[in-house]
This record gives sequence, C-alpha cells and structure tokens, in this order.
Amino acid sequence: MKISINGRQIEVTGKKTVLEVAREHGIYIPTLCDHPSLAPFAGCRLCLVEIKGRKGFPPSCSTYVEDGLEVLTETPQLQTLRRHILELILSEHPNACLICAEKKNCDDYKSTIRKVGEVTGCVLCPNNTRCRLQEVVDALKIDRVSFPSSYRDFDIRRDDPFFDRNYNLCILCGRCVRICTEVRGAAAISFVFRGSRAVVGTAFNRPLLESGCQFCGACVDACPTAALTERATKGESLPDDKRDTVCPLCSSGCELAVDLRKGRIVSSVPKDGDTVNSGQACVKGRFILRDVVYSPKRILSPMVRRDGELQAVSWDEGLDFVAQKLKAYQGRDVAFVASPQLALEDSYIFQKFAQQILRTDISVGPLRSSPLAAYLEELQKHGLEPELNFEMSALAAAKVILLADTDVVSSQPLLWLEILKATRKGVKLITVNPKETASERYASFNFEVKPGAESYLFASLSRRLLENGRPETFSSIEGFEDLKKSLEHLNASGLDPLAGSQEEDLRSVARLLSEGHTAFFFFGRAMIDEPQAGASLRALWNLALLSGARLIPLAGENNQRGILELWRRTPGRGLSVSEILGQAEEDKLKALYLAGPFPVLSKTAAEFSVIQDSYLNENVKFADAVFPAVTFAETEGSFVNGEGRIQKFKQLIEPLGEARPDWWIVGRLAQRMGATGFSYKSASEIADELAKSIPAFEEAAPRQQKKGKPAFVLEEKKTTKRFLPAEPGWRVPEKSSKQPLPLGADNGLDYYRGLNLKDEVKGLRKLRERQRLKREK
Amino acid sequence: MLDLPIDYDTSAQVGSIMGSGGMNVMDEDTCRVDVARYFLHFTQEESCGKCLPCRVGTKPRHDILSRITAGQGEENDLAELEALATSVKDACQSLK
Repeated sequence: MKISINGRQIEVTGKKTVLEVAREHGIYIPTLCDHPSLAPFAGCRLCLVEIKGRKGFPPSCSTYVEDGLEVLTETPQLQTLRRHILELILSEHPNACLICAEKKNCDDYKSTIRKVGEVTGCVLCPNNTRCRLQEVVDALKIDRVSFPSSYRDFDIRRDDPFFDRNYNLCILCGRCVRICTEVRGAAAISFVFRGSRAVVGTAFNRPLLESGCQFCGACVDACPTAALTERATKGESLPDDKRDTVCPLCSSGCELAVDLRKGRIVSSVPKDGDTVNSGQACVKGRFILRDVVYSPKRILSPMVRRDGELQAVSWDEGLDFVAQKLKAYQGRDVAFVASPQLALEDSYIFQKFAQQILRTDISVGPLRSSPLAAYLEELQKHGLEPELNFEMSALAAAKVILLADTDVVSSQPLLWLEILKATRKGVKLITVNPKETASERYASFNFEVKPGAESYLFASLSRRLLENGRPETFSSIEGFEDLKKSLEHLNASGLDPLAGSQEEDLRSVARLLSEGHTAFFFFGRAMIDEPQAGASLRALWNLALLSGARLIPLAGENNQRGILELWRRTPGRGLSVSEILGQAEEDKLKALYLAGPFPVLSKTAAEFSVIQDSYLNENVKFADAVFPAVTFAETEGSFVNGEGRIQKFKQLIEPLGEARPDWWIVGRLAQRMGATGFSYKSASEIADELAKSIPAFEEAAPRQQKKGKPAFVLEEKKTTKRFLPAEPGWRVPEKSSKQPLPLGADNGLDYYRGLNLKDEVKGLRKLRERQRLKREK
Repeated sequence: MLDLPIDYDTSAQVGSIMGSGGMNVMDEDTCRVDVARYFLHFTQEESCGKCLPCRVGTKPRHDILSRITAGQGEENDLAELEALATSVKDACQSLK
C-alpha cells in the first residue's frame, strides 16, 4: 500500500493505523489516550488529522490505512483545533506550572517537594518530567488557557495498598480502565457517571481491594498524568539511572526496568517492548522488589556464635571458623540445602561444593511440593523423560486450555495473561479446582472436584473420550489396551464424586478433547500436595495423550527449573527436607548447611549448623555461624524460568553491608577447606564452566547470549509416549491428610530466601488475605 | 403552522427538525439566547463523556451563555463562543 503523509510518500504493509505509520516515520502527532497495548479509543481527540476526500477530522489512532490515503497532520485548522482541545483538558487539570513562562528556570532553582496533599502544579507532582501532558503542552507550545479553570475537588483515595488515586489530575483518557479490562482481564475499574460528571472509579466507589484488583500496577504505568501514583516513590527525587533486571519472585522471569537514584533502587516497572512478560508484571515485580532488597531483616555482616551469642565477625574469621568445623563432617552426616531462587551459577557451585567437599548431594528447598519436580519424578519412575520446555507464546495457537488445581490469576499472573489473550480468541478454557478460582469466570467448563478426586475426573473424561475419539491417534500408543481395560472398571454412576448435573459438561469436554485441537494442560500445586498425587498425575498424563495435548507442570520459584536440571544430571539425590527433619529427629544429622528455605525449627537440628541467607529468620537462633548473602539485585547471573528459558540478569546496586554473592561465599569456604577449582572471580566465569561441563546448559555461557535468539535449556529430542498404569480401583478420599508444608510452599510463593513477603509487605498481606477469602467463600 | 403534519419531511421543509418526536413551541417573546443556554445544558447532560471536547467543552459555553442571559455578557464572548462551538463540533465523532 502507498499513502502520503504531509506530501511524503510512504509504503505501508499490514494492518496499521495512520498514527502508527506516522510514528514509524518520525511524524509527530500529539495524543494522550493512545497506548501500544490497547485497542484504539479515540477519546482525547488530539490526534485528529485531515484526509483528502473524507469529511471532517478523523482521529489518526482509529483510522486504518488504506491504499492511496492522503493525510495532512499540520494544517492551520488542525493546529487551532488541537490547541482548543488541549486548553480544554488543561482547564480541568492544575495548569499553572504547565503554562508558566518561567518553567524552564524553575527546574533549576526549585528543590523537589512532591510529598504534598494536593498537587497544584508540576513542581509538586510526583509525575513531573514523566508526564505525557507536559510533553504535549511543550509540543503544541501552549502558553495560556483561555477557559476558566474548574477544579473538580475529588477526595484523594489513599485507602488501598501501593498506590494513591487522585482523580483531580485525571484527564479521562481511559487508559487505566482499558488496560485493566483489555490486558489484565480484571475489570476492577470503569467509567462512572457520564458527561461532565464522568470519572474513573470502582463499583459502588469501594476500595480497589474489594473490587477484584490484583494490584499489578498496569493502570499506574498506563496513566499519562499523576492521577495514579505509586505511594512509595511519592517522596523520592527523580531517578538518575535505569537498569534492567529479571524478577526473582516466581518462575515467569519478568523482565523489569529499575529506576535508581544515587545507587539505590527507587522503583521497578515492567520493561517496555518485546519481553517475556510483554510489558506487564504483577504486584510483586511492580511494587515490592525494593522492599525485598532493603528489608530491615537483611543480614549485613558474617556472624559466629561465641558464648551462646551470635557476634559480628570479619569474613576471614567467619570463613575460617566454618571451614575448620565443617572439615569434621562428610557424607550422610551432613546436609546442604540449596535454594531454588538463586542463580544457576550459585546452584552449580553449591552442587560442586556439596559433592567435592562435603561428599554429599544438595537438597533443594521445598521442591517436593513443586508440580514440575513431581511430574519429572513420576515420569522418570516409569522410564520416561518428558519434554519440559515450552514457550508461553505457543498458547496463541491453542484451541483448548485446561487448568487443573491452580489459580493462575494469583499464582502465575503472567501465564494467566497469555491464557486470557487466548480466551479472547475463542479458546475453550476448562478449569478443574477444589475451590472457586478467579480464572473460572473466563472458563467454558468448570469442574469443582474434591481434593484428591482429580484422577477420577480425568479417568471419566478419558473413558468418554475413548467412546467418541479417533482411535487411530492413540490406539497404537504403548499401554493402550491396559488403559482401556482399567477404564472399563470405572463405574460412572457408582461412586461419582462429581455432581450429577455435570454429566453434560463431561460429555461436551470429552467431545472437545477428542476433536484433535491444539491443547495445553497445566496443573498446579494443589494436585501434587495430595497423597493421591501420583494417581492424579498418571490420569492426567493419559488424558493428555488421548487428547494429543501438551501437559505442562507449573514451575514455582524462579530458578526451580534450573536447579532441577542440575539435579537431573547427577547420579545422587540429596535428602528431601522432610528426610532431613527425620534424621535430625533421630540425632543422625551432624551438620546442616542451610542456603535455602527450611521449615522453622523448634530445636537444634545438628551439632553444627550454618545459615547462608540474605535475611534473618527464626532458624538463626540455632545457627553456629551466619553468612550474609546478597539478593539478586547485588549480583549477576542466570535464571531458568518456567519455560526453560535461560535469562541473564545484571547487577543493579552495590552489595549491602558485608553481603557477598552465594558462589563467592561457598567458593571461599571451599578454598579454605583445601579445595582447588573454586577461585572464581565472577559469575560469568562460572557460567562458562557450567556450559562446558553440562551440555544442556550450553546456552548459559555468556558468549551464547548474543545471538539474538532466546537461550533455552537444551533438551534431547525424543518422543516418549506411553500410557501410564492407571489405578486399579478409583478411590475417592474422604478427606485430604496434608502435611505441614515448608516455608514458601503455600499457594502464592510469597517468599524470597528467608523473607516471608506477606510478613514484610502489609499491602501484599492485605491482598492475599482478600484473595484467600474470595476462594474460601 | 398549526395544521402542519408531524413528520420528518414536512418539518424539514419549514426549517425545523424532528428529533425524538417532542415539540418545543416558541413565540416571538422567547429569548433565543436563553433557548441556546437551555439546549446547551441539555447537551451537557446528554454527553456520554468519552470524547474530551464534548465532555469538557460544553461547560464553558454554557457558562458564557448563562452570563449573557444574566445581562453580564462581554463583547469578546461571541467570538469565543463561536470558536469553541466550531472546535467541539469538528473534533467530536457523533456530530459529523
């Protein structure tokens, strides 16, 4: 297609708006309501243009390009029109500073005083210099407002966690409303009233907390003014640096852009552009990263227990002390607990240290309640090595998505966004949960099953699928006859734990699954926390094989996949957390090195114990030595996210206090214990060694990252298809007998190293409380 | 006038419009400025509030007309009224 803008000939391909094309070619058209992630709105009317042969002034943001279009963007009428419109906007928004003749000088001589009750001008505004209104006023060179000001005098809403809402600054562009609905699917806010009384608000003017808001912060980032402002940054001066990082708080691995001032983190927002998280984040990445790094619970100095008291010592003293003591323990006497939240490089050094120095294998935090770990273990038990890599973007091709035992809306918000996008394109969503979940409202079919009864549901579906499926796709798969036989014993009318009214849904879902659509099945923590986990897993695996679906276990911590891959490739297995506790109970454990999450102890677990963590936690009182480790922000390395993607993250700030990277601490300790091969100078040196010694991590090498292609854990391409043995009888448990789970095993993964995020951040606690209430209702 | 049929075509012929079927009857004593003010108030109430010029732009015009009807009009008002009216009309989607 050929079009012309202001006489310039432009070649256009694809479906684009006039505004998009103009931007691509450096032609400025002012706009306030347009947003790259949102559908055209055409509310602010600033982007009006003239098009030859068309009546009036069409908005360029909602006018799609057609061949031969002749567009003018700067005619005198347009300029007058835009000035008028902008002056009207300014009549409702504090404008004294915006049109002040002295505004250039003001920046140089006035200190920032943003923490004020009412924002009456830019110098008092937390969004100063980042405001889109300022940009447009400058571009249109507005220096007066001909209309009388009308201050709307709304009360400023400060009753919600994380951000304030000052609708006196709102220009009603609707970006917050639209992003909340179009992108996040939460629809917590909407336009309220109409005409000149229109305002953005919640249903019945309730707090956001009561309106289904997930506090992802997308609205705050979409707001062109300071109507929505992060509370924590209100009193901060402007940032002087911006760096990228990868969020360490779940397995999505969101890419974030962090604002810094004088070497301190000010705030973190999702990075723009083509990222894993498509410019979105969740409450944790957006609002609490800074609290995580600067928690008052941070350990800032090495400590050693002397005369019953932990005393701060130098690194030399601390390392010597621990090296001396640890020499006495080897093999099964000692347990080394690693965290699935540290970089791959740290995990690798932990394993090397445990194997070469302690002659044992690492144990990994709460892995036993990880769907990913349980899946791998169950399938390996049957000699299968399943494919684990997947790309979230693959969901775009899905026709059917099944979510079993997970509320992805709060536990995997970024995955949820992809699923939501898919449902908008007509994907049939099937949810299976013991309790009400937020994803349900988008589901075509929802099955409420008792905990532990999942296998029965999956078997029921399998049986119905066999009845109307296309046998050629699965009858040749090994184990089919056995499966068929076992399903014949399934008495659908007898001990049916599913409500009878769901019979029709079962049939519809079975029919849907038998049609051979591209399907993805996800399952979460609640399924494998049950004693019947194995049966549920096998039943779901069989159902996935019958429907030709890809089965994906949800990963938990940010590097869980990475540490599992390390684990997979070593012959030995460290003890599980509960096995360690059992050993401690029988006084068989001599030494305990905790560099990962562990349940709160009630007594000393071993003769000698060391804690290496970033935060003081309750177990410190039993430790003989404590080493301060850095957080993700003070070091560099790689994470492997839930997709299997290797993500490099860079250092943001200098280490706090005496804290050191985990690889450094354990490496120095190894050296003092007489080992060679631990004298690393940087994490990238370790990444190189890792890539060389374990082929699966080839792409973790620093030099591999420059290819412009995403780096992944390498998997052997082999198709392993076999039906797994089904349960002989289909028992449905009366009640689940849950073991108390270690720290972090709860649904939301709200912990980072030794820090419980809900304890640390009041806003998060309130939000989770609200989400829990909703589920249990 | 009274024997005019109430339909679209006839109304248009005599320079009137047929809206929702309601009818405003005026005589030579009706103040045109006041009628304009009244209708602008009506428009303001009817605005959906999506497009900015209509949502915000009806208010200053209503204010000007209110002032004029109260006998406090200024010379400049007319020009401003016209300019603003043109802008709002040109910029809003439903008025094309």
